[in-house]
Amino acid sequence: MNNNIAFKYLGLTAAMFLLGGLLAAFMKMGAGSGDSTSHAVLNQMLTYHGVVMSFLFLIPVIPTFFGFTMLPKQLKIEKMCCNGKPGFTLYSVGSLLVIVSAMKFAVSTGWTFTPPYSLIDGGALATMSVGLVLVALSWAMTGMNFIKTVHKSEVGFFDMPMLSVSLYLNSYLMLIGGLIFSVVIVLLSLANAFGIGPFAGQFSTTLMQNSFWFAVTPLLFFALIPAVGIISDVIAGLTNRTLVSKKSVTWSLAALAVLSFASWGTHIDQGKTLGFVFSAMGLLTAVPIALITYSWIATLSRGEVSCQPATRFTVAFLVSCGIGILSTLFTNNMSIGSYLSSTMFTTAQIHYLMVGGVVTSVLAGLHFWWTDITGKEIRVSLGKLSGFLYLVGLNISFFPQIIMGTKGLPQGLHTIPVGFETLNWVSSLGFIVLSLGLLLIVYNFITSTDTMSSGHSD
Amino acid sequence: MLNFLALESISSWFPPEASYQAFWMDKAFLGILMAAVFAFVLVVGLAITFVIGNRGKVAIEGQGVNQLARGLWVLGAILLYYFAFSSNFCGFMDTTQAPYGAYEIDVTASQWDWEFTYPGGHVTDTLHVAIDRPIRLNMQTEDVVHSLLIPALRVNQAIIPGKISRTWFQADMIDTFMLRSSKYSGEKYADMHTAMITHSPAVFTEWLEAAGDIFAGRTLSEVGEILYTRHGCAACHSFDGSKRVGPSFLDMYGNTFDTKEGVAVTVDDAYIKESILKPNVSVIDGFDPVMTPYEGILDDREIEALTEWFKSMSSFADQGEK
Ligand code: HEC
Repeated sequence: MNNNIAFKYLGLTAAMFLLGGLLAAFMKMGAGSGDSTSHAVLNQMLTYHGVVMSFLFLIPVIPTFFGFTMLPKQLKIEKMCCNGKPGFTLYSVGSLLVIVSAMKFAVSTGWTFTPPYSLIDGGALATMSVGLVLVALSWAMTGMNFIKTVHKSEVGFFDMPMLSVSLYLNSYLMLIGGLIFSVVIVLLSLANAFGIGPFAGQFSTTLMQNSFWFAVTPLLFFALIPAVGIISDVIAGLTNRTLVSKKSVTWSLAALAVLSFASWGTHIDQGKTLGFVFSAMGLLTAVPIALITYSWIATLSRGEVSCQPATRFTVAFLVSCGIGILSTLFTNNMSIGSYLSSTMFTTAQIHYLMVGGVVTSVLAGLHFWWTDITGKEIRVSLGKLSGFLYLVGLNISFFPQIIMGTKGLPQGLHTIPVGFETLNWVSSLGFIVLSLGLLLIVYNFITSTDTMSSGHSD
Repeated sequence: MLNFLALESISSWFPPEASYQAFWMDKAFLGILMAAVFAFVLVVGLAITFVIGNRGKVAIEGQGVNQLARGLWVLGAILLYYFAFSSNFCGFMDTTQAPYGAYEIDVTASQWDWEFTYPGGHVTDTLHVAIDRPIRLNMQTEDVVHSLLIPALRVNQAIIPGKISRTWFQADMIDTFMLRSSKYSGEKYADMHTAMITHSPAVFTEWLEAAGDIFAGRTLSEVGEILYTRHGCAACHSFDGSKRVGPSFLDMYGNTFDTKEGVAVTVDDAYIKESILKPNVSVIDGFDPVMTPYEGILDDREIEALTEWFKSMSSFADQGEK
């Protein structure tokens, strides 16, 4: 019965992912074909790609589906504290409003809404803001629901499986981050519509950027926390063992959640001193990340690892999220980081972390628990094949962007400058392979069969 | 050998190194890259080895942790982060403070244009600099946030509204390089690019003299109008007839005014020259003696140009000419 709401959420988040993906595809086509599509339209697509992917897909996707399906299972309770319906309604209405805003008054400010640019078209943000506030409230409600559910259950913090731990921690981020985010958005649209409030003033740029990233960093970059939760449990499941030194992983996740609130400044052009502080903060994340990977590798080392589609996706996660995490070494370096900021390098980075990290973990989890959750079986060989295509496509698609960035290509251009055609072409090719992999994955799930008897291992 | 080959091909990831700073930054990048590749191969390599290699092996029971291995692992990660964090830190500190006596160029960014103003007041839309000498850019934006990106120098500095953002560099390569904005600023953002052209110091001086000569290819009266904006006359004088701190230039030339002492003067070439060089000697009635003397700032030729411009917008022009 929790599954019902979970699948509604899965359907909606998947639809948002599809929408965001289509926008990316159109953008690539528009950019490739010179300036036939007008700049303005491409800017709007860019904005909506960012908004839809971050706020309507990445933040809710893991908590909603895996929260409502796996949390009760892992905590051994009948049902969640609340049924999640009001949250779902808010989320759907909010998403709808965001989409409506695209038709009514398409926003083209970029998804980080940096003022004063975002204040130029008076009132343009209104519809989208209302939508985003509703969505943010739904995160907060989901967060509350999970926190209460965990508190009600008998299982202690250190006895919970990692997914539950991560969802529990993430709930605080969704609750606090969601509320701050709503306030930021409301203030921003006030400044946009009436020119009033703290973001309308002279120093609005820095203030707004600080508040925005203060809310969004924990929400977005630490959408990776539940991703780590999923991968930890999948590794434990694949090896049929408990994680080696599970307690240290639990502590590490808690540490990451706290650090996420302190790391907002890494996305803004700070002064010298502040820049130094935020850059050094990256150092602190090294310890939890090392402890987590150590536990995974140690767990894998202790005997046979079952070979299934989920294994492929776990490896895919290590590869692509690994590249994403390691790429932060460059952006945290003060001199290299300032050169690379707002270039394609950062585009590649956010995609390695969000697609390579979050989406891959979702796929690993879906493949691993699908039968558990639905009682249906997927085709194993197709699962493995699609996992392979997905990993290859992802890297062909995003690795060229790393090089484009070091060569000095900024983000968000809609014409490809001379000298970047080949890299762009390779990246587009990768995008096609990636899409193909994703299509096969979806096909596999949709056509998964009820019984254990037919349609697999062909 | 292999190492060497890899470095060669990776340096093609970068634009040319047109400064000392760029050279050090690339070195730091390669250092971090090698460390990162090592960490990546270690983690992913171990994972894949175990996934494939452990087939058919009996699981080891128990939960014991090899404390030593884990300690080393964590220490390794800390060292990796520290190395990445501290690489080229001195280089970074260097970039925050321009050396004394740097050549200063003012940069104005606006949707979707660049404007560079050189010390003599000359304005261009491409950036010209001399190599082997520190250049400091004082940057301002007229509207939204922009960012000045010059890949060949590895310079990427945001320009925030309401303040002056600074950066400096010292180019060491003569060529034409890409210069663009890297901050999304709306519709024509992609077009907001121009060139940085580097010259040898001697060629730069020549260029500035030639380009800075506003008389070249212009009529005297056109030059006069440029001088009017460049020397800030606009703050006090209009040329549409409206009265500011000082009288308007419209219909001034050849006209007759009373001075404070009650003497009637006709505005002619000599009077204009005196008014500009020693403005407070005779003051027009109804105004205060507040105009700055331009003695030593404007030369005869420039005054002549201004005079021509005044003539061109006066209906009394023929009365002043003698
Ligand atoms: C600080 C304000 C100020 C600035 C800047 C200024 N002026 Fe004046 N100017 C005045 C005032 C006030 C008068 C009238 C009193 C006087 O004659 O001194 C005046 C008078 C004059 C006159 C005589 C006008 C007449 O009708 O007799 C001329 C010519 C003139 N200015 C030219 C210039 C030029 C050329 C510049 C720029 C290079 C300039 N001024 C900059 C304030 C200014």
